[in-house]
Amino acid sequence: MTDSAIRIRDLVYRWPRQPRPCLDIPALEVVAGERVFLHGPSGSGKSTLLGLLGGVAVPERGAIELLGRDLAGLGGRARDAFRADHTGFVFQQFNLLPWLSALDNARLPCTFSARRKQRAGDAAVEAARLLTHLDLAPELWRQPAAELSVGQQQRVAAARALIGRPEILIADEPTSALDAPRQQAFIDLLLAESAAAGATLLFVSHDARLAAHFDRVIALAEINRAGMADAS
Amino acid sequence: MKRTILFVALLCAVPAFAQHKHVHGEGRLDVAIDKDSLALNLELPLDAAVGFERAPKNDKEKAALAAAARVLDAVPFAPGAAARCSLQSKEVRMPFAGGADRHDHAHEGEDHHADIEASYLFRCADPAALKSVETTLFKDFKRLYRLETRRAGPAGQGAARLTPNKPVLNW
Amino acid sequence: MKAVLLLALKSAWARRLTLGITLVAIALAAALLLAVERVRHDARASFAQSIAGVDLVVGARTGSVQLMLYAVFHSGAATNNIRWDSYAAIASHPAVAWAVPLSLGDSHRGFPVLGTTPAYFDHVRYADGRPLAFAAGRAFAGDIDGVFETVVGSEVARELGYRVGDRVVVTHGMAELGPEHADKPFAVVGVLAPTGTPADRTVHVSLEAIAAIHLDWAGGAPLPGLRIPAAQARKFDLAPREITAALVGLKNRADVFRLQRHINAYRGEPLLAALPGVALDELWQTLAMVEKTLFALSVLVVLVGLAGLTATMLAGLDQRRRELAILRALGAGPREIFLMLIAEGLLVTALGVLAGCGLLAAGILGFAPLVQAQYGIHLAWRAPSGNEIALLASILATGLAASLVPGWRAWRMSLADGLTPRN
Repeated sequence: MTDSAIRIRDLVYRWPRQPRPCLDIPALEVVAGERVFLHGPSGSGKSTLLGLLGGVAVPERGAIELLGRDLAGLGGRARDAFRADHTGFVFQQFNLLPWLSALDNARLPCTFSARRKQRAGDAAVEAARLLTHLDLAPELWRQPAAELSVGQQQRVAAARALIGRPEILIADEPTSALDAPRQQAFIDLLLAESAAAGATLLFVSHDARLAAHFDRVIALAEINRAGMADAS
Repeated sequence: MKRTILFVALLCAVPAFAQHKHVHGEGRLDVAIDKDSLALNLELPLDAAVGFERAPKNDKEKAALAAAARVLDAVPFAPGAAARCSLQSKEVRMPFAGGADRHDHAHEGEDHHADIEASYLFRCADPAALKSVETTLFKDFKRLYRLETRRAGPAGQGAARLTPNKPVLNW
Repeated sequence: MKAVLLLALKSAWARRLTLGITLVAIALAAALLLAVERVRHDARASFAQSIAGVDLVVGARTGSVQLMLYAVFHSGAATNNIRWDSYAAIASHPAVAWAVPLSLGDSHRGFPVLGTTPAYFDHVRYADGRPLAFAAGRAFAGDIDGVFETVVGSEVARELGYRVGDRVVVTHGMAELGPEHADKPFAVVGVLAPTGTPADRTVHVSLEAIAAIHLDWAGGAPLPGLRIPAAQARKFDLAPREITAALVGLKNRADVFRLQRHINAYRGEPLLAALPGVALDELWQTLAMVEKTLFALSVLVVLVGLAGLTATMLAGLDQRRRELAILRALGAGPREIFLMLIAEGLLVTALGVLAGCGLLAAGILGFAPLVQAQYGIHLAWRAPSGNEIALLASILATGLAASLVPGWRAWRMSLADGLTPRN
């Protein structure tokens, strides 16, 4: 497994009507199956990088390859489809559609991606399996997501990111809304499940204390030349 | 609604009685259909056709009068083609034509007004298909801006207003 | 795509309260628009139905619309009477196929009493030329023995519970509580089948009856000290001297303009002959402005309702930024987001239009009897006509246009926000 899951070359991104780029990353590579902690304080361009990796934004220059495909070379709809097929996201909070049940939220990717639906087998069974693995009590499965606690919601979000075994899992501050004891428990669950699914995990956080169990730690400030210019 | 109708009815009361009012630029057309016959009766203020309502004073006015007579002689009405109507007879009465006869019988006390009267009788091979009559009068008589029509026939009665933009009477 | 639409549906259901209020506004607006169109159409239809087969209405000189409204619809101001010999002269004109005299002025518990001849039941047509039919009984005899017989319309029978054999007392004048001709009651000998025309709400008696009940009256009140019992009334000369109006049918319809001119020039007394169909069209022409204003107002109400939809959806968008970002992360493109919004707007509009149709149906069921009684307009529930379907379609089209604004905004928002909304 030495294929690269994420490969960035000479990436430059500038917000519209901004004189200077906010991202200038000469190189970043994440190997398939690797679990990487990307550390960056808020405002360092993390969200922008995630948008680029998700294919909802296009770089001004450079290449972003996911699983060997250059996203910049794809059209908007192809990037949306690629994201649905190969990438699972977990965000800080409010990850779920509040008016859907926990189970239906976990199954959502299967309605957007035929590939993930096919890989999940029976979506309901697979969602139930993941929710069980993520320690969500079955009596909560049918409840609207809005009625779950933040911790429960994050676990449903993780199940949703994992269903249909996407190759890449991106977690953006997924524990910042949790209290300290639950943070490590959630990270352990995420690490275990992404390992079980054989997924590449990119975990983004401003909190360096969480980096302990990852294969590699990358500081965004170190790879982003635009960030360095900002700091100086 | 009832009050509105009553109110309007009262408004209508006076003008509706004055059946034969003479308004420059406004003609009247009666359309009568019975069995296979279609009778058109036209009343036009002379002014709408030639621009004056008195005996012609010069050759130019005489020529205008003659031109108007030719227009009416050429049957400026076309019943819907599907009914296959053909003209049986026509009668055009121009005031001051030849300077002799004056047709102001309907307008006692209105000496300075003069009307053209024309009637056309068609026979239709398929009267059931007769659903419209078109007029070309507005093209020939630019001063004519309105033709108030009344219609009576097997489809019932009706009133409609023809204008240069809507020269077809449908029912 | 289907999945996205299903999500749109569920999302809309989650916001059913605010969207529901918008829906109600659209439903009311659509119902109003439809009602204006329906009443306009049905008013014309019921008026037109009532004059089928009548070529001319003849009465005293007044407006032709006024004459027709009074003689045919028994509404509006009373007109002067015309002399019987004028009527006889018209009836015997060679172009006239039939003529029926009408005498109006009295009433029975709010229903107009019409004095006429038995020929009325033979010649009056309604709708597409159907003759009047008896649900029960027969026409009044029209001779001296039948003087105190009456035929009531279907609505009169239904509302007052009259059957053949019942007794009826006529009130002098049109007021419900006017002085009564109590000494000369009438026997119901016939009940007409429903027609949807003023005949339904009319009490029909013979012309002689009208003369008989007024034998001992003068100036709208009983003559003091003079009482002529019903039995003796028959001995008087009851031949009518005056009537209110006459309905005339021609042998040849094309003669109508000629005969109209002839009657209008009648030398005996000033008469007016009106072509009822023409007079109606003239009435509608005069009312066109009122109709257009009403229509424009109801279109405006629909636009306000749909503007409410736009506003509600736009306001909802700000709270749904997170939802849209989640859908984006799941793989939805801006196009899907846009379509979701359009679908939601169209759904609310379509349900609103459907509910509007329901409201209209309920309104018609609820108010039809009142409208029939008050205005003589026969409203009936039926599937929307072509015109109405076109109106409904244009409401939907406007609803689509109203959804474009929030749809476009959501598109822009989802492009700007990407996966992480900034709020």
